[in-house]
Amino acid sequence: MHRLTPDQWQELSPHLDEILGMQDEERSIWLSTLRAQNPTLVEHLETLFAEHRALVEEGFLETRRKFLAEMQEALAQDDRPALKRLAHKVAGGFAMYGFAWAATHCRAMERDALLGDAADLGRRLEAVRRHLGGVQISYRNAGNMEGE
Amino acid sequence: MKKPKVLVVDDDEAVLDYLQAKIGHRYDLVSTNAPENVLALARRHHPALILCDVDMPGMDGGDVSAALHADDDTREIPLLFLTGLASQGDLKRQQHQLGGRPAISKSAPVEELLARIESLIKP
Repeated sequence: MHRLTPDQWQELSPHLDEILGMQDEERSIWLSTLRAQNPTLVEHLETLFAEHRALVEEGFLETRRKFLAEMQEALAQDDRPALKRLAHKVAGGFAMYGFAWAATHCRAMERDALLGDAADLGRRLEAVRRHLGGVQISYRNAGNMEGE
Repeated sequence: MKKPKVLVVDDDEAVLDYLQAKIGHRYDLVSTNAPENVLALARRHHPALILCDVDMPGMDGGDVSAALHADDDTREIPLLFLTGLASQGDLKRQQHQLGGRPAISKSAPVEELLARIESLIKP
């Protein structure tokens, strides 16, 4: 990922808004035209767009909600190994996508999954679920995606 | 210039998507969410590096590492573990290794991931 300066972000932001509203073919033509004038700008735009697609369109949040529901189910069934496995998986994804708070909480749940108190684990799981429910995607001026 | 090929293994599709978005511009990524396919993919593609999750159902990173090491065709391919098991601080204390293999935390910045990959890819 290319880290962006505030000035670069200011230059990129309107273009990103524009390409997010385009169909694939239209976007491809538009970027090709712009590439001839400013290849660096297009490289940044393509990276940002790919990130957006990975996070939103490919369903990162959707799959996390699904995994959290599976964790709730595992806890209800007292299937602690499954809870531990799922907490680990969810924590890794959160960490990678920059959801630091959720990653830390899921790691703690992974650690306590086998022997922890069920009610306490349930409360912690609910806190992560609520947190995820309130997530809004925004773009910081550093050009990184921010999920929290 | 031809991009180096990197084989990426993780049972979480979101992680594969993320890596495609973040490092796909630098490397020709071959991805799989099935660790049991790694050996065959490594033989077929001869990647410059394999980036592998540690904790996966069925066959974990250690199993993958052992299978690659046991095969003459794949033994020399550098393997970098990508782990959600350890924080960046934990890994630093372990000299950035897990089970004697280089490792990086999933929470590491992309710049650090790129640097580790570059340091392991043979010229």
